[in-house]
Order: sequence, then C-alpha cells, then structure tokens
Amino acid sequence: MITCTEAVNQFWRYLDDDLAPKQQQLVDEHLGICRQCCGELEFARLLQGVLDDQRSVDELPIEVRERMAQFVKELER
Amino acid sequence: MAGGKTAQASFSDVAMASLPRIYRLARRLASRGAEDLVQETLMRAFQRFGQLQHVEAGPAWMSAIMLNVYRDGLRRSKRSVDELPFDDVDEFSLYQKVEEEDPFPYSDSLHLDFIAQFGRDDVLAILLAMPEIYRAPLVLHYVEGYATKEIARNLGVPLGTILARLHRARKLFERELWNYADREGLLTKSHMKESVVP
Repeated sequence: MITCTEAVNQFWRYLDDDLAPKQQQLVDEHLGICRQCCGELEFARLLQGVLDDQRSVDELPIEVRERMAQFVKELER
Repeated sequence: MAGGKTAQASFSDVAMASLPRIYRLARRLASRGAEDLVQETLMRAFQRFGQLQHVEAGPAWMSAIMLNVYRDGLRRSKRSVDELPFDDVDEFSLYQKVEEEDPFPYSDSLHLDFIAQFGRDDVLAILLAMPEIYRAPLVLHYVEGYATKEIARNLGVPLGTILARLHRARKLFERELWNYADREGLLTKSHMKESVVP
C-alpha cells in the first residue's frame, strides 16, 4: 500500500499511462480506498486539460505571418 | 535539393502550412526569441527539404527540426544546466491549497470553479513565466504530445533528467496557477467566472 503523497505524486504519470504495471496497481489500490485522492486525480485530469487546451490556440499574428512569408521567399530565391 | 518540389508541393507551401504549429511551439519554448527560432528552423528545413517524403508530415517534420535547433541553442548557451534550487515546490498541492483557502465559499464545485477562472492567455502567461528547463518538457509533453523518451532524445538529455524536470514542472505549474490567480485578482468575487459543469 502507498501513502496519499506517494499516490498524488504519481497521478500525472498515471493519467499519461506512463507508470510501470506494479506502480499502476499500487495507485489503483490506493484509489480504491481513498476518496480524497480520487478528487485529486480528477483535479490532475482538469489541469492536464488546461494544458492540452493550449494546443488549440491559433495565435499566429498577421504581421508575423507576413514577415515569415517574406523570409521564405528570400530563402527560395 | 533545397528549394525544389516534394510530392508536388513547394517549400513555401510546406513552410506556410506548418507556420501556425511551429510558431506556437517556438513561442512556448523560446518566449521572446520565438521568431528567431522559427527563422532558424525554416533555414534548416529549407536545406533539408529534399528529405521530406510526405507533404502531409510537413508540420511534424518542421517541429522535429525546431527541436534540434532549440537543443543546439541550449548547448551553445549552456542554459540547460541552470537547474533552480527548489524550496517547497515538490510538496505543493494545488488541490489541497484550493481546499484550504476555499476562495469561493458558496461553490458546490470548488476545484472546477478555480480552474474556470483561467483563460488561455492566463495559462500562456503562466507557462512563459516558468524557467525554461521546466517549461520545455511540460509544453512538449502536455501541449505538443511528445512522449518522454522522445523529449529526452530530441533535447539530448537523459530520460531520468526529463522525468525529474517534468515532475517539478507540474508542481511549479500548479503553484504558479495559484500565485497568478492570487496576484491577478482571479479569486475575488467580482471577477469570478462560474464553471460549466458538463
């Protein structure tokens, strides 16, 4: 059995499916008996969603696009 | 064959189609040096354009080249060795902090409401304020979707180092979410945005 701190420290990797099977089993066992940590796990999932959401940001300013287009033209000359 | 055609697409076609993705990556890796990083990437990609076999792989190919350029820049400047001394960040839990401070006493979904206060620009500001050696693995893994082994290989850093930095980066990101919310007044009642519970 692992402690809450040990479990929480592994939640992001647990969500990434990046833990060794034995570690994953220990986290699963802990989650089976600890409601507080189930909340922490859901919160870690939300935080990952916040980061994942950065992928959908379309932030290329027009002036940067124009400068880079000009740069590419110069390269191709 | 620099400047030639690859599967009926010119370098310009591939470069411009890749630009949104590589600029987003450059902004998060290099912050103020983003445009320089994009230009160096375009130059290197132009020299190697003949190696691109499938046009549709262009953005991923450009991103991989950008990581090489970024890694070379880190090596030149030795920025990669600037590990920060860490105080109590390894022990920080945002979940517990939100619970203890209880910024929205009438909320039925405290943690969800806390997260709902952050717009994309807020999150970007927090990422850009993080030290580069922690920001890079966090962005590459959770925004760009690279596996930890790929990050280690692309940045030329041992896997164990990447895993340790990623752990600290997560903790640092959690702590900076709280600090930013506190500093920018996101936790005041007048500012509060309610979460949309699915």
